[in-house]
Amino acid sequence: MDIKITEEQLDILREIINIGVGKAASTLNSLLGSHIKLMIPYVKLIKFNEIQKEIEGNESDNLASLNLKFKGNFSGSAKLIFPTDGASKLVRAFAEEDDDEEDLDEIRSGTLSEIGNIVLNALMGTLSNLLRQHLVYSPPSYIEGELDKLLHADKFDLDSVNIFARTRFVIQDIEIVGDFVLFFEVGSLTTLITIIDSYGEEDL
Amino acid sequence: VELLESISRFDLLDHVPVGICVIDKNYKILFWNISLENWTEISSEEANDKNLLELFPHLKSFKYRSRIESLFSGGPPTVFSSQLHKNIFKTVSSDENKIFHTTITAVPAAEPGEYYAMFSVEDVTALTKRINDYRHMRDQALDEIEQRKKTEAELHEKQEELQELNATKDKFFSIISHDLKNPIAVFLSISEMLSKMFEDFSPEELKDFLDEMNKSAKKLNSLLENLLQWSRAQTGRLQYNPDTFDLRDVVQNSIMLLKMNADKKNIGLISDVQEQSYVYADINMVDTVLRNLISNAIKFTPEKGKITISDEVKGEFREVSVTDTGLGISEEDINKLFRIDVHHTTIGTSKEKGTGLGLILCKEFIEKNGGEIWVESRLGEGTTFYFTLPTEAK
Repeated sequence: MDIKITEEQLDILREIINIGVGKAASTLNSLLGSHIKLMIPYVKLIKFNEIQKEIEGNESDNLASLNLKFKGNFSGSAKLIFPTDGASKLVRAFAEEDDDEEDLDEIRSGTLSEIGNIVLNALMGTLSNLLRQHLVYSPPSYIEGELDKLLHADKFDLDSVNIFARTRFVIQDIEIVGDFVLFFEVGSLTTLITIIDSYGEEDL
Repeated sequence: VELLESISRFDLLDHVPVGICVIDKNYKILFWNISLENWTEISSEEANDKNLLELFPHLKSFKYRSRIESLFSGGPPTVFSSQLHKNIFKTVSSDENKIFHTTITAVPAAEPGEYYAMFSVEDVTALTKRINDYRHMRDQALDEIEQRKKTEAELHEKQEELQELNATKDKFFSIISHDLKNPIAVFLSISEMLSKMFEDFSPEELKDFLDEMNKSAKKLNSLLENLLQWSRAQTGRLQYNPDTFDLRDVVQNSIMLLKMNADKKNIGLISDVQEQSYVYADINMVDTVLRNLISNAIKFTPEKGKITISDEVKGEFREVSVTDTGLGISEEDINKLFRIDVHHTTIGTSKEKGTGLGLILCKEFIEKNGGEIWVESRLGEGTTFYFTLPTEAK
Protein backbone atom coordinates (compact mmCIF):
# COMPACT_ATOMS: atom_id res chain seq x y z
CA MET A 1 0.00 0.00 0.00
CA ASP A 2 1.12 3.51 -0.69
CA ILE A 3 1.54 5.88 2.19
CA LYS A 4 1.68 9.61 1.68
CA ILE A 5 3.60 11.65 4.14
CA THR A 6 3.86 15.41 3.93
CA GLU A 7 7.12 17.25 4.30
CA GLU A 8 5.80 18.68 7.58
CA GLN A 9 4.98 15.26 9.02
CA LEU A 10 8.39 14.03 7.99
CA ASP A 11 9.92 17.06 9.70
CA ILE A 12 8.24 16.19 12.98
CA LEU A 13 9.45 12.61 12.65
CA ARG A 14 12.97 13.86 11.95
CA GLU A 15 12.82 16.08 15.00
CA ILE A 16 11.68 13.21 17.22
CA ILE A 17 14.45 10.94 15.97
CA ASN A 18 16.91 13.79 16.42
CA ILE A 19 15.97 14.23 20.06
CA GLY A 20 16.24 10.45 20.58
CA VAL A 21 19.69 10.37 19.02
CA GLY A 22 20.77 13.22 21.28
CA LYS A 23 19.64 11.26 24.34
CA ALA A 24 21.44 8.15 23.10
CA ALA A 25 24.63 10.16 22.71
CA SER A 26 24.53 11.47 26.25
CA THR A 27 23.98 7.96 27.66
CA LEU A 28 26.79 6.54 25.53
CA ASN A 29 29.06 9.35 26.71
CA SER A 30 28.50 8.43 30.34
CA LEU A 31 29.27 4.79 29.56
CA LEU A 32 32.32 5.53 27.44
CA GLY A 33 33.72 8.36 29.52
CA SER A 34 34.87 10.12 26.36
CA HIS A 35 33.06 12.27 23.92
CA ILE A 36 30.88 10.48 21.43
CA LYS A 37 28.94 12.44 18.88
CA LEU A 38 25.90 11.12 17.07
CA MET A 39 25.42 13.09 13.87
CA ILE A 40 22.06 14.48 12.86
CA PRO A 41 20.30 11.55 11.27
CA TYR A 42 19.06 11.39 7.73
CA VAL A 43 15.46 10.15 7.74
CA LYS A 44 13.17 8.91 5.00
CA LEU A 45 10.34 6.51 4.31
CA ILE A 46 11.20 3.46 2.26
CA LYS A 47 9.58 0.23 1.23
CA PHE A 48 10.81 -3.02 2.72
CA ASN A 49 12.35 -4.13 -0.56
CA GLU A 50 14.32 -0.89 -0.89
CA ILE A 51 16.13 -1.47 2.37
CA GLN A 52 18.78 -3.58 0.69
CA LYS A 53 20.22 -0.68 -1.25
CA GLU A 54 19.99 1.74 1.66
CA ILE A 55 21.98 -0.32 4.14
CA GLU A 56 25.60 0.75 4.23
CA GLY A 57 27.98 -1.85 2.79
CA ASN A 58 27.05 -4.52 0.32
CA GLU A 59 24.87 -7.57 0.47
CA SER A 60 27.55 -10.11 1.26
CA ASP A 61 28.94 -8.05 4.11
CA ASN A 62 28.55 -9.34 7.58
CA LEU A 63 26.20 -7.18 9.59
CA ALA A 64 25.26 -6.98 13.23
CA SER A 65 21.70 -6.16 14.13
CA LEU A 66 19.86 -5.40 17.33
CA ASN A 67 16.14 -5.86 17.25
CA LEU A 68 13.46 -4.41 19.55
CA LYS A 69 9.84 -5.41 19.03
CA PHE A 70 7.03 -3.25 20.30
CA LYS A 71 3.23 -3.38 20.50
CA GLY A 72 0.64 -0.70 21.09
CA ASN A 73 -1.35 1.73 18.96
CA PHE A 74 1.34 1.19 16.41
CA SER A 75 3.23 -2.10 16.35
CA GLY A 76 6.42 -3.20 14.70
CA SER A 77 10.07 -3.45 15.45
CA ALA A 78 13.07 -1.18 15.57
CA LYS A 79 16.36 -2.44 14.23
CA LEU A 80 19.81 -0.99 14.50
CA ILE A 81 22.10 -2.39 11.82
CA PHE A 82 25.88 -1.97 11.73
CA PRO A 83 28.42 -3.35 9.31
CA THR A 84 30.53 -5.59 11.60
CA ASP A 85 33.61 -3.69 10.48
CA GLY A 86 32.34 -0.48 11.97
CA ALA A 87 30.91 -2.41 14.90
CA SER A 88 34.37 -3.72 15.77
CA LYS A 89 35.70 -0.17 15.82
CA LEU A 90 32.87 0.86 18.09
CA VAL A 91 33.50 -2.04 20.43
CA ARG A 92 37.20 -1.21 20.51
CA ALA A 93 36.31 2.23 21.76
CA PHE A 94 34.23 0.79 24.58
CA ALA A 95 36.44 -2.11 25.57
CA GLU A 96 39.62 -0.12 26.06
CA GLU A 97 41.36 -2.81 28.10
CA ASP A 98 41.47 -5.32 25.29
CA ASP A 99 42.54 -3.92 22.01
CA ASP A 100 43.74 -7.31 20.88
CA GLU A 101 41.92 -8.23 17.68
CA GLU A 102 41.03 -11.73 18.85
CA ASP A 103 39.56 -10.65 22.14
CA LEU A 104 37.62 -8.01 20.34
CA ASP A 105 35.79 -10.59 18.31
CA GLU A 106 34.75 -12.41 21.46
CA ILE A 107 33.36 -9.42 23.29
CA ARG A 108 31.67 -7.92 20.28
CA SER A 109 28.20 -9.40 20.53
CA GLY A 110 27.62 -8.44 24.16
CA THR A 111 29.00 -4.95 23.83
CA LEU A 112 27.08 -4.32 20.64
CA SER A 113 23.80 -5.51 22.09
CA GLU A 114 24.27 -3.05 24.92
CA ILE A 115 25.25 -0.11 22.72
CA GLY A 116 22.37 -0.93 20.40
CA ASN A 117 20.05 -1.13 23.37
CA ILE A 118 21.05 2.36 24.47
CA VAL A 119 20.47 3.85 21.03
CA LEU A 120 17.19 2.03 20.39
CA ASN A 121 15.84 2.82 23.86
CA ALA A 122 16.62 6.49 23.47
CA LEU A 123 14.86 6.58 20.12
CA MET A 124 11.82 4.49 21.06
CA GLY A 125 11.53 6.10 24.49
CA THR A 126 11.52 9.54 22.89
CA LEU A 127 9.05 8.51 20.23
CA SER A 128 6.55 7.06 22.74
CA ASN A 129 7.05 9.87 25.26
CA LEU A 130 6.63 12.72 22.82
CA LEU A 131 3.65 11.13 21.11
CA ARG A 132 2.25 10.10 24.51
CA GLN A 133 1.84 6.56 23.31
CA HIS A 134 2.26 3.60 25.58
CA LEU A 135 4.12 0.73 24.01
CA VAL A 136 4.92 -2.75 25.32
CA TYR A 137 8.35 -4.08 24.39
CA SER A 138 9.77 -7.59 23.99
CA PRO A 139 13.28 -8.17 25.31
CA PRO A 140 15.79 -7.13 22.63
CA SER A 141 17.56 -9.73 20.49
CA TYR A 142 20.90 -9.63 18.74
CA ILE A 143 21.75 -11.28 15.41
CA GLU A 144 24.87 -11.32 13.24
CA GLY A 145 24.93 -12.33 9.61
CA GLU A 146 24.13 -11.23 6.09
CA LEU A 147 21.38 -8.72 5.44
CA ASP A 148 18.99 -11.36 4.15
CA LYS A 149 19.24 -13.30 7.36
CA LEU A 150 18.71 -10.20 9.47
CA LEU A 151 15.65 -9.08 7.57
CA HIS A 152 14.02 -12.46 7.45
CA ALA A 153 14.31 -13.01 11.16
CA ASP A 154 11.01 -11.12 11.26
CA LYS A 155 8.34 -11.87 8.74
CA PHE A 156 7.41 -8.55 7.25
CA ASP A 157 5.18 -7.68 4.41
CA LEU A 158 7.41 -6.85 1.43
CA ASP A 159 5.17 -3.90 0.61
CA SER A 160 5.27 -2.43 4.09
CA VAL A 161 6.57 1.09 4.37
CA ASN A 162 9.27 1.75 6.91
CA ILE A 163 11.06 4.64 8.50
CA PHE A 164 14.69 4.52 7.64
CA ALA A 165 17.21 6.62 9.52
CA ARG A 166 20.96 6.68 9.27
CA THR A 167 23.28 8.17 11.79
CA ARG A 168 27.02 8.33 12.21
CA PHE A 169 28.85 7.78 15.45
CA VAL A 170 31.95 9.86 15.78
CA ILE A 171 34.28 8.98 18.63
CA GLN A 172 37.44 11.07 18.48
CA ASP A 173 39.07 9.97 15.18
CA ILE A 174 36.90 6.98 14.38
CA GLU A 175 33.73 7.38 12.44
CA ILE A 176 31.19 4.58 12.41
CA VAL A 177 28.05 4.42 10.36
CA GLY A 178 24.98 2.83 11.86
CA ASP A 179 21.68 2.34 10.08
CA PHE A 180 18.52 2.56 12.10
CA VAL A 181 15.36 1.15 10.61
CA LEU A 182 11.89 1.22 12.13
CA PHE A 183 9.66 -1.47 10.70
CA PHE A 184 5.94 -1.02 11.06
CA GLU A 185 3.23 -3.51 10.52
CA VAL A 186 0.96 -2.49 7.67
CA GLY A 187 -1.52 0.03 9.06
CA SER A 188 0.69 1.01 11.97
CA LEU A 189 2.48 3.70 10.04
CA THR A 190 -0.81 5.31 9.04
CA THR A 191 -1.73 5.35 12.73
CA LEU A 192 1.60 6.91 13.55
CA ILE A 193 1.11 9.60 10.92
CA THR A 194 -2.35 10.34 12.32
CA ILE A 195 -0.85 10.71 15.77
CA ILE A 196 1.87 12.98 14.42
CA ASP A 197 -0.83 15.05 12.72
CA SER A 198 -2.71 15.59 15.99
CA TYR A 199 0.54 16.78 17.42
CA GLY A 200 1.47 20.43 17.26
CA GLU A 201 4.96 21.69 16.66
CA GLU A 202 4.79 23.62 19.91
CA ASP A 203 4.80 20.28 21.77
CA LEU A 204 8.35 19.52 20.67
CA VAL B 1 -1.12 -6.12 51.90
CA GLU B 2 0.05 -4.54 48.67
CA LEU B 3 3.54 -5.86 49.14
CA LEU B 4 2.25 -9.34 50.01
CA GLU B 5 0.16 -9.33 46.89
CA SER B 6 3.08 -8.42 44.72
CA ILE B 7 5.32 -11.00 46.38
CA SER B 8 2.86 -13.76 45.70
CA ARG B 9 2.57 -12.43 42.14
CA PHE B 10 6.24 -13.18 41.52
CA ASP B 11 6.47 -16.48 43.42
CA LEU B 12 6.48 -18.55 40.22
CA LEU B 13 9.73 -16.88 39.28
CA ASP B 14 11.49 -18.84 42.03
CA HIS B 15 11.37 -21.79 39.68
CA VAL B 16 13.19 -20.40 36.65
CA PRO B 17 16.93 -20.83 35.98
CA VAL B 18 17.31 -17.08 35.78
CA GLY B 19 18.11 -14.67 38.61
CA ILE B 20 15.15 -12.35 39.10
CA CYS B 21 14.75 -9.22 41.17
CA VAL B 22 11.84 -6.76 41.14
CA ILE B 23 12.13 -3.22 42.49
CA ASP B 24 9.73 -0.31 42.74
CA LYS B 25 10.44 3.26 41.67
CA ASN B 26 12.17 3.93 45.01
CA TYR B 27 14.55 1.01 44.38
CA LYS B 28 12.89 -0.99 47.16
CA ILE B 29 13.33 -4.71 46.53
CA LEU B 30 9.95 -6.44 46.18
CA PHE B 31 11.18 -9.81 45.03
CA TRP B 32 14.49 -11.67 45.13
CA ASN B 33 14.39 -15.17 43.67
CA ILE B 34 16.20 -18.39 44.61
CA SER B 35 18.72 -18.23 41.75
CA LEU B 36 19.85 -14.81 43.00
CA GLU B 37 20.06 -16.16 46.56
CA ASN B 38 22.42 -18.84 45.32
CA TRP B 39 24.61 -16.56 43.23
CA THR B 40 24.87 -13.71 45.74
CA GLU B 41 24.44 -15.62 49.02
CA ILE B 42 21.97 -12.91 50.01
CA SER B 43 18.71 -14.56 51.10
CA SER B 44 15.35 -13.19 50.03
CA GLU B 45 14.62 -12.38 53.70
CA GLU B 46 17.74 -10.20 53.77
CA ALA B 47 17.01 -8.60 50.42
CA ASN B 48 13.27 -7.94 50.53
CA ASP B 49 12.26 -4.45 51.54
CA LYS B 50 15.88 -3.27 51.34
CA ASN B 51 16.96 -0.55 48.97
CA LEU B 52 18.80 -2.05 45.98
CA LEU B 53 21.21 0.90 45.90
CA GLU B 54 22.21 0.25 49.52
CA LEU B 55 22.97 -3.40 48.76
CA PHE B 56 24.83 -2.59 45.55
CA PRO B 57 26.20 0.96 45.85
CA HIS B 58 27.89 0.89 42.41
CA LEU B 59 24.40 1.04 40.85
CA LYS B 60 24.10 4.61 42.16
CA SER B 61 26.40 5.86 39.40
CA PHE B 62 24.83 7.78 36.53
CA LYS B 63 25.57 5.13 33.94
CA TYR B 64 23.27 2.69 35.75
CA ARG B 65 20.73 5.05 37.27
CA SER B 66 20.00 6.87 34.03
CA ARG B 67 19.20 3.64 32.28
CA ILE B 68 17.13 2.07 35.05
CA GLU B 69 15.11 5.21 35.71
CA SER B 70 13.28 5.15 32.33
CA LEU B 71 11.76 1.76 33.15
CA PHE B 72 9.62 3.19 35.98
CA SER B 73 7.62 5.01 33.31
CA GLY B 74 7.28 1.88 31.17
CA GLY B 75 10.23 2.51 28.87
CA PRO B 76 11.89 -0.12 26.67
CA PRO B 77 14.01 -2.91 28.18
CA THR B 78 17.58 -2.09 29.21
CA VAL B 79 20.51 -4.44 28.62
CA PHE B 80 23.68 -4.68 30.71
CA SER B 81 25.95 -7.00 28.76
CA SER B 82 28.20 -9.56 30.39
CA GLN B 83 31.15 -8.13 28.49
CA LEU B 84 30.86 -4.60 29.82
CA HIS B 85 29.57 -5.39 33.33
CA LYS B 86 30.38 -9.05 34.08
CA ASN B 87 28.07 -9.21 37.09
CA ILE B 88 25.91 -6.31 38.22
CA PHE B 89 24.92 -8.09 41.49
CA LYS B 90 28.47 -8.75 42.57
CA THR B 91 29.05 -9.59 46.25
CA VAL B 92 32.03 -10.80 48.24
CA SER B 93 30.80 -14.38 47.86
CA SER B 94 30.23 -14.18 44.08
CA ASP B 95 32.10 -16.65 41.92
CA GLU B 96 34.73 -14.52 40.14
CA ASN B 97 34.63 -16.69 37.02
CA LYS B 98 30.94 -16.36 36.40
CA ILE B 99 29.60 -13.76 34.00
CA PHE B 100 26.04 -12.58 33.73
CA HIS B 101 23.89 -10.90 31.11
CA THR B 102 21.22 -8.66 32.62
CA THR B 103 18.02 -7.43 31.01
CA ILE B 104 15.73 -5.04 32.89
CA THR B 105 12.12 -4.79 31.79
CA ALA B 106 9.19 -2.69 32.95
CA VAL B 107 6.28 -4.55 34.55
CA PRO B 108 3.00 -2.87 35.43
CA ALA B 109 2.91 -2.07 39.16
CA ALA B 110 0.06 -2.52 41.58
CA GLU B 111 -0.61 1.23 41.35
CA PRO B 112 -2.17 2.08 37.98
CA GLY B 113 0.15 3.90 35.57
CA GLU B 114 3.22 2.94 37.56
CA TYR B 115 5.88 0.40 36.73
CA TYR B 116 8.30 -1.86 38.54
CA ALA B 117 11.68 -2.73 37.10
CA MET B 118 12.34 -6.44 36.79
CA PHE B 119 15.99 -7.56 36.54
CA SER B 120 16.52 -10.87 34.73
CA VAL B 121 20.05 -12.10 35.28
CA GLU B 122 21.27 -14.94 33.06
CA ASP B 123 24.39 -16.96 33.79
CA VAL B 124 26.17 -16.89 30.40
CA THR B 125 29.48 -18.33 31.62
CA ALA B 126 29.07 -21.69 29.87
CA LEU B 127 27.59 -20.13 26.75
CA THR B 128 30.37 -17.58 26.48
CA LYS B 129 32.97 -20.26 26.96
CA ARG B 130 31.39 -22.36 24.23
CA ILE B 131 31.27 -19.41 21.84
CA ASN B 132 34.89 -18.64 22.59
CA ASP B 133 35.84 -22.28 22.02
CA TYR B 134 34.09 -22.28 18.65
CA ARG B 135 35.77 -19.06 17.68
CA HIS B 136 39.09 -20.48 18.71
CA MET B 137 38.46 -23.61 16.64
CA ARG B 138 37.45 -21.50 13.68
CA ASP B 139 40.63 -19.44 13.95
CA GLN B 140 42.71 -22.59 14.17
CA ALA B 141 41.02 -24.03 11.09
CA LEU B 142 41.64 -20.79 9.20
CA ASP B 143 45.31 -20.87 10.25
CA GLU B 144 45.64 -24.43 9.04
CA ILE B 145 44.11 -23.58 5.67
CA GLU B 146 46.50 -20.63 5.37
CA GLN B 147 49.45 -22.89 6.20
CA ARG B 148 48.36 -25.48 3.68
CA LYS B 149 48.06 -22.86 0.95
CA LYS B 150 51.56 -21.66 1.73
CA THR B 151 52.96 -25.18 1.52
CA GLU B 152 51.22 -25.74 -1.80
CA ALA B 153 52.68 -22.54 -3.21
CA GLU B 154 56.14 -23.58 -2.06
CA LEU B 155 55.72 -26.98 -3.69
CA HIS B 156 54.62 -25.34 -6.89
CA GLU B 157 57.66 -23.09 -6.87
CA LYS B 158 60.00 -26.04 -6.29
CA GLN B 159 58.33 -27.91 -9.11
CA GLU B 160 58.94 -25.02 -11.48
CA GLU B 161 62.56 -24.88 -10.43
CA LEU B 162 62.92 -28.59 -11.10
CA GLN B 163 61.31 -28.21 -14.49
CA GLU B 164 63.74 -25.50 -15.41
CA LEU B 165 66.68 -27.58 -14.23
CA ASN B 166 65.42 -30.45 -16.30
CA ALA B 167 65.09 -28.20 -19.34
CA THR B 168 68.67 -27.03 -18.81
CA LYS B 169 69.88 -30.58 -18.76
CA ASP B 170 67.91 -31.43 -21.92
CA LYS B 171 69.30 -28.39 -23.69
CA PHE B 172 72.81 -29.43 -22.78
CA PHE B 173 72.35 -32.91 -24.21
CA SER B 174 70.70 -31.63 -27.35
CA ILE B 175 73.54 -29.21 -28.00
CA ILE B 176 76.12 -31.91 -27.49
CA SER B 177 74.30 -34.41 -29.67
CA HIS B 178 73.27 -32.15 -32.53
CA ASP B 179 75.53 -29.18 -32.74
CA LEU B 180 78.84 -30.59 -31.70
CA LYS B 181 78.37 -33.69 -33.79
CA ASN B 182 78.24 -31.93 -37.14
CA PRO B 183 81.49 -29.94 -37.12
CA ILE B 184 83.28 -32.87 -35.53
CA ALA B 185 82.04 -35.19 -38.26
CA VAL B 186 83.30 -32.78 -40.94
CA PHE B 187 86.59 -32.48 -39.13
CA LEU B 188 86.89 -36.24 -38.76
CA SER B 189 86.11 -37.13 -42.35
CA ILE B 190 88.44 -34.52 -43.85
CA SER B 191 91.28 -35.39 -41.52
CA GLU B 192 90.80 -39.09 -42.24
CA MET B 193 90.80 -38.47 -45.98
CA LEU B 194 93.92 -36.33 -45.71
CA SER B 195 95.76 -38.85 -43.61
CA LYS B 196 94.96 -41.76 -45.97
CA MET B 197 95.25 -40.05 -49.36
CA PHE B 198 97.45 -37.03 -48.72
CA GLU B 199 99.59 -37.73 -51.81
CA ASP B 200 96.57 -37.91 -54.14
CA PHE B 201 95.67 -34.23 -53.70
CA SER B 202 97.08 -31.17 -55.36
CA PRO B 203 98.35 -28.37 -53.10
CA GLU B 204 95.27 -26.27 -54.06
CA GLU B 205 92.89 -29.05 -53.02
CA LEU B 206 94.83 -29.54 -49.79
CA LYS B 207 94.49 -25.83 -49.05
CA ASP B 208 90.67 -26.06 -49.55
CA PHE B 209 90.47 -29.02 -47.18
CA LEU B 210 92.55 -27.25 -44.58
CA ASP B 211 90.34 -24.13 -44.86
CA GLU B 212 87.30 -26.32 -44.34
CA MET B 213 88.91 -27.94 -41.29
CA ASN B 214 89.86 -24.55 -39.90
CA LYS B 215 86.26 -23.37 -40.29
CA SER B 216 85.00 -26.40 -38.39
CA ALA B 217 87.60 -25.90 -35.69
CA LYS B 218 86.55 -22.25 -35.27
CA LYS B 219 82.92 -23.22 -35.02
CA LEU B 220 83.77 -25.88 -32.47
CA ASN B 221 85.85 -23.43 -30.54
CA SER B 222 83.14 -20.80 -30.26
CA LEU B 223 80.55 -23.40 -29.40
CA LEU B 224 82.74 -24.90 -26.71
CA GLU B 225 83.45 -21.48 -25.30
CA ASN B 226 79.73 -20.73 -25.00
CA LEU B 227 79.05 -24.14 -23.52
CA LEU B 228 81.80 -23.74 -21.00
CA GLN B 229 80.62 -20.31 -19.89
CA TRP B 230 77.07 -21.46 -19.74
CA SER B 231 77.86 -24.52 -17.64
CA ARG B 232 79.89 -22.28 -15.32
CA ALA B 233 76.92 -19.97 -15.01
CA GLN B 234 74.58 -22.90 -14.35
CA THR B 235 76.75 -24.38 -11.64
CA GLY B 236 77.42 -21.04 -10.03
CA ARG B 237 81.15 -21.18 -10.75
CA LEU B 238 81.13 -18.18 -13.03
CA GLN B 239 83.24 -15.36 -11.66
CA TYR B 240 81.46 -12.04 -11.69
CA ASN B 241 84.04 -9.25 -11.58
CA PRO B 242 82.40 -5.93 -12.36
CA ASP B 243 84.47 -2.86 -13.11
CA THR B 244 84.04 0.44 -14.92
CA PHE B 245 85.16 0.31 -18.55
CA ASP B 246 84.59 2.05 -21.87
CA LEU B 247 82.04 0.10 -23.88
CA ARG B 248 83.32 1.63 -27.11
CA ASP B 249 86.57 -0.40 -26.87
CA VAL B 250 84.72 -3.67 -26.36
CA VAL B 251 82.42 -2.97 -29.32
CA GLN B 252 85.44 -2.12 -31.53
CA ASN B 253 87.12 -5.36 -30.48
CA SER B 254 84.04 -7.47 -31.32
CA ILE B 255 83.69 -5.77 -34.69
CA MET B 256 87.32 -6.52 -35.50
CA LEU B 257 86.91 -10.18 -34.62
CA LEU B 258 83.71 -10.60 -36.66
CA LYS B 259 84.63 -8.32 -39.58
CA MET B 260 85.80 -11.25 -41.73
CA ASN B 261 82.46 -13.04 -41.41
CA ALA B 262 80.62 -9.84 -42.26
CA ASP B 263 82.87 -9.07 -45.24
CA LYS B 264 82.08 -12.47 -46.73
CA LYS B 265 78.40 -11.46 -46.99
CA ASN B 266 79.22 -7.86 -47.85
CA ILE B 267 77.59 -6.65 -44.65
CA GLY B 268 78.58 -3.29 -43.19
CA LEU B 269 79.41 -3.37 -39.44
CA ILE B 270 79.08 0.13 -37.98
CA SER B 271 79.69 1.32 -34.42
CA ASP B 272 77.80 4.46 -33.40
CA VAL B 273 78.90 4.07 -29.79
CA GLN B 274 80.01 7.42 -28.38
CA GLU B 275 83.38 8.10 -26.84
CA GLN B 276 83.69 7.50 -23.11
CA SER B 277 80.63 5.28 -22.91
CA TYR B 278 81.35 3.98 -19.47
CA VAL B 279 79.49 1.08 -17.90
CA TYR B 280 79.94 -0.81 -14.66
CA ALA B 281 79.86 -4.51 -15.55
CA ASP B 282 81.89 -7.68 -16.00
CA ILE B 283 83.86 -7.02 -19.18
CA ASN B 284 84.13 -10.70 -20.19
CA MET B 285 80.39 -11.19 -19.95
CA VAL B 286 79.66 -8.05 -21.96
CA ASP B 287 82.19 -9.20 -24.56
CA THR B 288 80.40 -12.57 -24.90
CA VAL B 289 77.02 -10.86 -25.18
CA LEU B 290 78.18 -8.45 -27.89
CA ARG B 291 79.89 -11.19 -29.91
CA ASN B 292 76.79 -13.38 -29.71
CA LEU B 293 74.44 -10.58 -30.75
CA ILE B 294 76.66 -9.36 -33.61
CA SER B 295 77.33 -12.85 -34.99
CA ASN B 296 73.59 -13.60 -34.81
CA ALA B 297 72.91 -10.40 -36.73
CA ILE B 298 75.44 -11.39 -39.40
CA LYS B 299 73.81 -14.80 -39.64
CA PHE B 300 70.33 -13.42 -40.30
CA THR B 301 71.22 -10.48 -42.50
CA PRO B 302 71.28 -11.04 -46.27
CA GLU B 303 74.19 -9.91 -48.44
CA LYS B 304 74.85 -6.14 -48.65
CA GLY B 305 72.99 -5.52 -45.43
CA LYS B 306 73.99 -3.31 -42.52
CA ILE B 307 74.48 -3.86 -38.79
CA THR B 308 74.64 -0.87 -36.45
CA ILE B 309 75.66 -0.84 -32.80
CA SER B 310 74.70 2.29 -30.85
CA ASP B 311 74.13 3.42 -27.28
CA GLU B 312 72.18 5.93 -25.25
CA VAL B 313 72.13 6.83 -21.55
CA LYS B 314 68.74 6.26 -19.89
CA GLY B 315 68.67 7.20 -16.23
CA GLU B 316 71.16 5.11 -14.32
CA PHE B 317 71.62 2.76 -17.27
CA ARG B 318 73.24 2.73 -20.68
CA GLU B 319 71.03 1.16 -23.32
CA VAL B 320 72.96 -0.62 -26.10
CA SER B 321 71.30 -1.69 -29.33
CA VAL B 322 72.37 -4.02 -32.16
CA THR B 323 70.23 -3.33 -35.23
CA ASP B 324 70.30 -5.34 -38.43
CA THR B 325 68.55 -5.13 -41.78
CA GLY B 326 67.88 -8.85 -41.72
CA LEU B 327 64.99 -11.27 -41.94
CA GLY B 328 63.21 -10.21 -38.80
CA ILE B 329 61.59 -12.51 -36.27
CA SER B 330 57.92 -13.40 -35.99
CA GLU B 331 56.11 -12.46 -32.78
CA GLU B 332 55.63 -16.10 -31.95
CA ASP B 333 59.34 -16.84 -32.22
CA ILE B 334 60.30 -13.76 -30.19
CA ASN B 335 58.65 -15.33 -27.17
CA LYS B 336 60.78 -18.45 -27.55
CA LEU B 337 64.10 -16.66 -27.93
CA PHE B 338 65.27 -16.38 -24.33
CA ARG B 339 63.67 -19.53 -23.01
CA ILE B 340 65.66 -22.54 -22.00
CA ASP B 341 62.66 -24.88 -22.07
CA VAL B 342 61.79 -24.29 -25.73
CA HIS B 343 64.24 -25.43 -28.38
CA HIS B 344 64.54 -22.77 -30.97
CA THR B 345 67.08 -22.38 -33.76
CA THR B 346 66.77 -20.82 -37.16
CA ILE B 347 68.95 -21.43 -40.15
CA GLY B 348 70.88 -18.34 -41.25
CA THR B 349 70.77 -16.63 -44.65
CA SER B 350 73.89 -18.57 -45.76
CA LYS B 351 72.63 -21.76 -44.14
CA GLU B 352 74.51 -21.01 -40.89
CA LYS B 353 73.46 -23.20 -38.02
CA GLY B 354 72.87 -22.06 -34.47
CA THR B 355 72.44 -23.75 -31.14
CA GLY B 356 69.89 -21.48 -29.51
CA LEU B 357 72.31 -21.29 -26.61
CA GLY B 358 73.72 -17.87 -27.39
CA LEU B 359 70.70 -15.78 -26.43
CA ILE B 360 70.04 -17.75 -23.27
CA LEU B 361 73.60 -17.05 -22.26
CA CYS B 362 73.19 -13.34 -23.13
CA LYS B 363 70.10 -13.06 -20.92
CA GLU B 364 71.86 -14.80 -18.05
CA PHE B 365 74.88 -12.50 -18.31
CA ILE B 366 72.97 -9.24 -18.68
CA GLU B 367 70.74 -10.07 -15.73
CA LYS B 368 73.79 -10.97 -13.67
CA ASN B 369 75.01 -7.42 -14.36
CA GLY B 370 71.74 -5.91 -13.22
CA GLY B 371 70.51 -5.08 -16.71
CA GLU B 372 67.73 -6.20 -19.01
CA ILE B 373 67.68 -7.64 -22.51
CA TRP B 374 64.86 -7.57 -25.04
CA VAL B 375 64.18 -7.58 -28.74
CA GLU B 376 62.06 -5.63 -31.18
CA SER B 377 61.51 -6.98 -34.64
CA ARG B 378 59.28 -7.11 -37.66
CA LEU B 379 59.35 -9.87 -40.25
CA GLY B 380 61.23 -8.68 -43.34
CA GLU B 381 62.26 -5.36 -41.79
CA GLY B 382 65.08 -6.35 -39.48
CA THR B 383 65.68 -6.80 -35.82
CA THR B 384 67.04 -4.76 -32.92
CA PHE B 385 68.36 -6.38 -29.77
CA TYR B 386 68.59 -4.06 -26.77
CA PHE B 387 70.34 -4.50 -23.48
CA THR B 388 71.03 -2.22 -20.54
CA LEU B 389 73.97 -1.99 -18.18
CA PRO B 390 74.45 0.22 -15.12
CA THR B 391 76.59 3.30 -15.78
CA GLU B 392 78.19 3.19 -12.34
CA ALA B 393 78.57 1.01 -9.26
CA LYS B 394 75.70 1.15 -6.77
